Amino acid sequence: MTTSRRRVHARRVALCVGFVLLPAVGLAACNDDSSPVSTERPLTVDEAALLASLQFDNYDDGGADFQVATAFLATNDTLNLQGVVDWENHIGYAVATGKGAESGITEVYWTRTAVLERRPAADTVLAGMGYEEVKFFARTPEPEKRLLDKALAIIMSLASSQRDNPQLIQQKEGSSFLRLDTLRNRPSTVLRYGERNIYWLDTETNRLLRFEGNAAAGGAPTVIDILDRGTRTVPLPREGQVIAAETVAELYQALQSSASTGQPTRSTAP
Amino acid sequence: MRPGRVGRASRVLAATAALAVVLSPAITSCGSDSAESKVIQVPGDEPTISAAVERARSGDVVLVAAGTYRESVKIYRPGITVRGVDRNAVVLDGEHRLANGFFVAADNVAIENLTVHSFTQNGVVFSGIERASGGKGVDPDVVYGAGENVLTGYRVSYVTAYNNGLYGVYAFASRSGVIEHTYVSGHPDSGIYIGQCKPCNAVVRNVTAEYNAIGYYGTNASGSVFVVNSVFRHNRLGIAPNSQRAEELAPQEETVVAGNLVVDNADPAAPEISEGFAGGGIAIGGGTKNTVVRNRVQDNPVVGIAVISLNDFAPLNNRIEGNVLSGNALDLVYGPTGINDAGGNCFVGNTFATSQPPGIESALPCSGSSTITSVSPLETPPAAKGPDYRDIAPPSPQPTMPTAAMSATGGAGVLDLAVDVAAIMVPAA
Repeated sequence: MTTSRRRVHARRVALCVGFVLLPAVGLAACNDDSSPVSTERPLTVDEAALLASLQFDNYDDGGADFQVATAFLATNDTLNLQGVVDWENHIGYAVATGKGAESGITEVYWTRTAVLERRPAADTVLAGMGYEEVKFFARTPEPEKRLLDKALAIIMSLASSQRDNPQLIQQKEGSSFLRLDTLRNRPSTVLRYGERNIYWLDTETNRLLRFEGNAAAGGAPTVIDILDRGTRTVPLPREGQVIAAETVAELYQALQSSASTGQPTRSTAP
Repeated sequence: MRPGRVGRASRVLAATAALAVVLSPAITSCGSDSAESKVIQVPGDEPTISAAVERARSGDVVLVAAGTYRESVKIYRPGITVRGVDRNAVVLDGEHRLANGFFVAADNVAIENLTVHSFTQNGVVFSGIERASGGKGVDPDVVYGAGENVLTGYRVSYVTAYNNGLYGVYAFASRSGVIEHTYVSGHPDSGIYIGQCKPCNAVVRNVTAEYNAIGYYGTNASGSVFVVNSVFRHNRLGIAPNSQRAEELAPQEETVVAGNLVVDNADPAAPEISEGFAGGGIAIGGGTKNTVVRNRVQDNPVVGIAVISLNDFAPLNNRIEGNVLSGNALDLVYGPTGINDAGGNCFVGNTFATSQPPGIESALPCSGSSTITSVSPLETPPAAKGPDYRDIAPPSPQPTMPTAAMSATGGAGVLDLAVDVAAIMVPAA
């Protein structure tokens, strides 16, 4: 027996966690019911089975409309996304707003191997370089380094072609039933999987309504609301509208720097 | 490299199995007095299997008539048997919306002679967590699957399980069990899974597993586990005792894989493996003290028998003996990562054509010193995408349970955990 390996702490999960952590995000990450009762306890086997199936159910449903609110607390960077995801084909699109390192991005597409960023501030410079049609910078995903990419990775991680094992979920440290709640006028069951990931599941359909998570160090809270679900098709931009970021590396780096510092982009075009 | 040799290890294993049987009576004969046993007919006495199980007491048999039953049966009472009158005509259908065909959280329960399919989780699952915690949820300070924190005594006989969303038959944190004369297919994980138990005292015999992602999976399943005299074909991976951090009680140790026919385990008609490698017949993934003896392993497009690492677990002290291999891309492979010596693993008396390293029985002998000084990890190609498990064709009718094998008394009964490994020969092709 290893007595130190698991502790299901009797924690009261703060009301409106996402809202408290993300005051500047503007996403209504607070439950509708103002007085839920904390009833934290170990998961039943049926509740573990719900968690085991939620990713598969998302994958099976095909796609969804979603909202994301995320932040990197160490730098006060925030990012909001509103868009659509095709889980089955691993493609998505979102409108982006925020402040900090990702603030220059207004739209984003992504696939398994690429992130396409729309940065209107670069339009004039690109046109001056002869890329009049180009609207998007393409680059390799970097979920370990960039807030945007991390958020995209979390969105995709909400779907899987394989179910999880409820027996293992049940015994995973931190997994708990938290409470019954009401979210967007839907009765929901709030369950925690492990120490950091919380799921709101529609009590009637067992489908995911909201995911709330945080990075290991607790410095990158993320709230994802699944607004509607079903088959989604995301047409990617035409080839001529996309340029590899590395092709215009100096410009792209300047855009990133200006976003981080809040300074206007300086044109480095010839 | 001769087939059919009976080595010292086999005799030791047979003795170990016999000892397990001697020690097991207190476990395996705890059903109630047969004089009090009764048969509850479904739908004659109760309209559903669940209702009959709720009414049953230890020693009772729930006898299910032919028909399709759309229910998920939870068993919290020990010592009962649920038996179909006809394996192919008594069908539990989960309709891809119900979780488990049978969820068993009680000791000494037997499931016999029926078919269970299209459940989102498992066809039949024995849950040591639910049994040991009394259904109150996990105790964070308990390691389930060891000591007293187990489900004890289970048997699955003449059951067909197909196209369930996780496993066909799953024994988790459970001890002293038999899975026999059972057919499993169309599972996107493993057809048969024994996990997190020490000692397990489990016997898988005379089963057929095909068109699953994995035929048999044994994560951290340690101590007197026997996978014998069975057929594993057309899966993506045939048999895989393995160690993982995701479950308690690592590392895995002491499984005997003997007398099995293991053929063509990279079939694209089977669901793909979401993680790990495909194309192997028998793979010991970071397991210890396992014995793979006198199996026939053929036509597996990556490897016949592999002794490899899994995650951060190195394979140690495994013995590969007397197997007959042919038509595999590589017949025998010793390919762990992170170690450059034999790790106590050895190969002897196998019939094979190719190996990594070449001359594997000289490099890793079971008697004498190993000459190996470096190890090339097994290279595995990405697996082809597989079908949706729900679309895999149902199996053909399977042999029904002989009347003589049916006990008048309910419960797992006196489990035959004796495996005479020395008597097991290489099966015919």
